[in-house]
Amino acid sequence: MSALPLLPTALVGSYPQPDWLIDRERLSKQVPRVVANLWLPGPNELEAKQDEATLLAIRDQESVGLDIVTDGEQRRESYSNRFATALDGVDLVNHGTTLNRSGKPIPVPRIAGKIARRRPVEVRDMKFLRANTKRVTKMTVPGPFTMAKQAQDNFYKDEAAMALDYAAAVNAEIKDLFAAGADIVQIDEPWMQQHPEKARQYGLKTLERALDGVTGTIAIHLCFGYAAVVHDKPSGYSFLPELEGTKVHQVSIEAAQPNLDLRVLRDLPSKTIILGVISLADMTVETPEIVAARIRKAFDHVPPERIVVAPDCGMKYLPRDVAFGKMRAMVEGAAVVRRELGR
Amino acid sequence: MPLPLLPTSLVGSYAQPDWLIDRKNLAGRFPPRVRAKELWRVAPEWLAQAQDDATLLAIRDQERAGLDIVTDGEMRRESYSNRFATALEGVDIDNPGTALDRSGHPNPVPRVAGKVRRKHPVEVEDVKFLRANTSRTIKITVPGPFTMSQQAQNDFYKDEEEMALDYAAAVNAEIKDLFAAGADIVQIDEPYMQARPEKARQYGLKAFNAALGGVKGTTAVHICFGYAAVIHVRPEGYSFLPEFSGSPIQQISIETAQSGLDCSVLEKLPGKTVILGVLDLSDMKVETPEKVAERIRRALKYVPAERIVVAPDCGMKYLPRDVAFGKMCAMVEGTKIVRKELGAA
Repeated sequence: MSALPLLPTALVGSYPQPDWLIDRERLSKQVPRVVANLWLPGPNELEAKQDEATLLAIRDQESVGLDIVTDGEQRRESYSNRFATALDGVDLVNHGTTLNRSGKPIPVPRIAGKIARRRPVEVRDMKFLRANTKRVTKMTVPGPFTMAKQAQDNFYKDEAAMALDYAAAVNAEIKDLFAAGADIVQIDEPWMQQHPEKARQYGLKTLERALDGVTGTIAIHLCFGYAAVVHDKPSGYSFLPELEGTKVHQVSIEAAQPNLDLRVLRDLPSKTIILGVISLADMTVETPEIVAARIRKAFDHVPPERIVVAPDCGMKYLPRDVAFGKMRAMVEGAAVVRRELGR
Repeated sequence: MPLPLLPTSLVGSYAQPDWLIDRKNLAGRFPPRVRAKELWRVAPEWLAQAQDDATLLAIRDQERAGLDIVTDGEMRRESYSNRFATALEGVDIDNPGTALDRSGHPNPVPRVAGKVRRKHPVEVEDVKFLRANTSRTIKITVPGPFTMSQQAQNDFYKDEEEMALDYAAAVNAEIKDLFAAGADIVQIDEPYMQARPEKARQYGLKAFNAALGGVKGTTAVHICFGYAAVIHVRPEGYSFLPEFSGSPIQQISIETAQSGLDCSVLEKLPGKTVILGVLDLSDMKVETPEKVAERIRRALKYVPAERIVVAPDCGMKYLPRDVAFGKMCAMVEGTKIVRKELGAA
């Protein structure tokens, strides 16, 4: 891993997909948990176009000056459905139903057998990312707890047992991603915030299983849902201090849009904070000074050495020019603070 | 932006990606002179965005390879000339004519049915996009008036010279707009001056110079023996080249790698900067930096380094992208070797 500066900048994971790749109009309606067939290119040219969109996402991040680069999740309809629908035990024909975080019924994978990872899912993506940038790389995988909540269980009759099998699948994937050259692997567990009781009951144990025997830098992302979909946000997390006792190294939280009370970060004294300083609900690009102010606010509770500067969440739903502008503001804002700190 | 000694640059086009255009079809035909919309592989409503995105990637590839002068890679074009040539007034697009290609084969071409005139700027948005997306020195190409007049069927003008001069007026207006939009260098592509030297001498040069009338800013001309992918045999020398010494054009882009050109001809272009082709585009093997250096040194006997820009032989449109990228990197590395030898590194 090449050396990172103080206050390194990074995306959470996703970057906007081009209009020629995916039907963004339909994409914006609902976050898919099952295969949604939103792609515009035919099956013969889909992979080439996804590769090209990924190159674009990488070059945009590089040219703006991000220190840590992701593949922008260009090959995914949602952060979770590509991995979740690639597993054994999932009935891809007859979907199940669950309530999403807004309380609406949505189609989800129906679990009809034992969950197991048939094959690596994101390893080609990781190799592509590694081959196309020299910067520090991060790859995201959906978390086992979130996938378990986004499924209808017709097999286990025991949520915790199902989540543990998801965790075994994620564990194998994480090890393969590091072997393929990932510098950081991030587990996306937004539903831990949505279901804090269950997260405490068995989510932590599930996370522990997913990280069993893993060496390498691990991040976890928790949020209140996409700004484009979830509009009212609480000002505090219902589940966060619990992560202090886990093996994850970095915790990604949204702080800008909810104007989070950052005192909660004192409960994570050993963790690096991936600090959300870009609001994805507001299509106005932040000034570097606003970004700088949001970074400084965290210093009362976390030293700069333990902060990675990031947007609140994935940028998937933003217009690309807005996303690019926000990335630039983020990089410039971080530079302002670095200068103040004499670095 | 100040340029180093022996600045590096593309001629114009860069490899177009497979997902954007049907490369197999493109490679299996003559370069289109009329529109060939069926070649694009993105739906019409998203084509402009996809072309912008391909352009961004072409820019970033040139930057990553370390080129000093950057083009837009001509990602939005089916050929170097047809986008401009079919945007003009006086051209009947729906009923194309026929003209012989430089290989001697008939090829559908724009049919000139009225006075040729530029309706609106054609490449100005392209140059603005390029300017907005790189801080390096930028170059944009336009097809030359003589070449366009040769790639047309004249059903209107009494004589070809008159037609070529109207093409020149259209190109002249475009060039001025391109500089106003931020271009550092504008290059006129005139490959048919080499293919049709008699006519080039008769009226081609006059039309070419007319296209430069009142233009301020650095201008270049590219002449060549045809795409390596289409025209396979190469003469050892240009049939039209010293004639440019009397033209106000500042830079002349020529191919020397594939043809093994006798570089002594460059002595006949005093005062001109030579955009020296040092990459052979018929060979899919990437040159070593040493090979590139050797090809630069060959020209140094006849042209001082201060008057050389290092480039490929021609547009890279037909190359696989990984080969094109590899060749650009070799070109940059080879140039560094020579700069070092000259004590300019």
